[in-house]
Amino acid sequence: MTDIAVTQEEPAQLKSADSVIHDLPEQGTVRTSRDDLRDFIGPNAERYLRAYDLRQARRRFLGGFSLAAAFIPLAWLMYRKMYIAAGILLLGSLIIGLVMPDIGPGVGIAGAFGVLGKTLYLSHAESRLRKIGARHLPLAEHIALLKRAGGVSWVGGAIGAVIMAGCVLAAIAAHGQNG
Amino acid sequence: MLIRLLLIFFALLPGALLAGFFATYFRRRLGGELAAIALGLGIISAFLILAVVWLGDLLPGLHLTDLTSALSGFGQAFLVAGLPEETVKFLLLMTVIRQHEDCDSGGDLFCSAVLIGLGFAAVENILYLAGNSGNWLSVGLLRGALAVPGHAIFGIVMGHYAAQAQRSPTSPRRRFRLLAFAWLAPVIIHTLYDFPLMTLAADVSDSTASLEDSQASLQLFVLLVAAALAWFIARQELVSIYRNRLDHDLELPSTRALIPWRIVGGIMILGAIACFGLAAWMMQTGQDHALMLFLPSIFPLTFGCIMQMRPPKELRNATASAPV
Repeated sequence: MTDIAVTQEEPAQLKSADSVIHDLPEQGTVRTSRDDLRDFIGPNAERYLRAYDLRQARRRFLGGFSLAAAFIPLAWLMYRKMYIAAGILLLGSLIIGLVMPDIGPGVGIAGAFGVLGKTLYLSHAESRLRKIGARHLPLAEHIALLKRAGGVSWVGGAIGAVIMAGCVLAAIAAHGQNG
Repeated sequence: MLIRLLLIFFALLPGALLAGFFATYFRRRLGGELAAIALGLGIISAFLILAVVWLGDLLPGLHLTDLTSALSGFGQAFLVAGLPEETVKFLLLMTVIRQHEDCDSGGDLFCSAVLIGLGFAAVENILYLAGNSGNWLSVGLLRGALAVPGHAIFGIVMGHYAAQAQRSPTSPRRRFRLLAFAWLAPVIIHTLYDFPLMTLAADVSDSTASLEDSQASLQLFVLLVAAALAWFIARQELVSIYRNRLDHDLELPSTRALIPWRIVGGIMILGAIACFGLAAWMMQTGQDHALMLFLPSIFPLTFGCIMQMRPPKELRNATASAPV
């Protein structure tokens, strides 16, 4: 059992894709921030890691188009445990819908989330990784915390889907009544 | 468009004031991220309840709004308001907030529960005011004084018992009992709070003066009990906790940051006292609706008093004189 504290991550190291953040000299192994990110992301990690690598290499700022984020943004946000963004999305849509009922947020939100979704998730993950890294936990606890803080929530995704379905059907019903 | 923006601002203001106070008081313990997540979950829970009602109405053969109109006032208050709303809030508190790595003490759960309630109240308030755009100012004033602080009180009760459960890790039976209380106590208080209002709405056709009086008296009783409970719990979680040292992450709130909230609380107390005085004068002169002025003053007075709370003086002084 290696109980070696995680070394503090220098801000400059975060820029590098293969920055060493866990040094385990006894075993001769290294752990990079990319490994942390893989553990944090969980399912479909490779898609996000590809976008992460492109960002780190400064070849592309945006992570690429995400279909899930574009077509089911709320369910996707909650599936990926981004509850603050989900709350902002809901409250923002409500306010925009009330202030500008003729325009509505629909297509704009789909486009914005499709384009920015992966970048948003990577920024969220990096910010959480910095906070978890600052705890200097033993490696096993560190990985367990990463998996608990990240990963996906099927219940969250289902809640997001129910809310989206309710909103869409209510909008259709209201449109039908007005028509 | 300007009127709509004003309506939204007016709808968000009471919840923002209360959330601002609790977030300021607990900021050093809770952290900004967990506070924002709690508010986000409150917004999500309000939309979830709405979505379920909308979906239920659209499914053939299942019309929830018809069902609710057929229920008695108590049935509506319990099945439509108290049970689903507080259950969703409780489940989100226990599954998302409690699992978060920053939530490591009872105080974190307490403040998060209040913020979930206020996030919920913000969405509900916007929708109510938008639905009553003809008289949104009076509806907004009434809801700002009753419904929004009401949701904060349900959160205070839920958060207190959830925090007590968090502080009793060694006794599973006591923990289970406290968690059951954290779920059921807000459901009961919410139901009792809504019951007189919904009975009045359901029985409006055969409403009599004596029925209205008894419902108003019941409402007064529920509001007074809820206000007293909120004040007592807030005193435990905001003041006594520093003496009892039940949480490991106790940190004093910034005295300077609390000054604006003491001023806001003072204004709320003065406003409530003015309303009490006016209601007393109306009662003396035999005018109707004196109680209607008295009832909405109870919660602002309570939260005005809660905003005056500070950690014990000896601890504040000890911190101030400690070497940097």
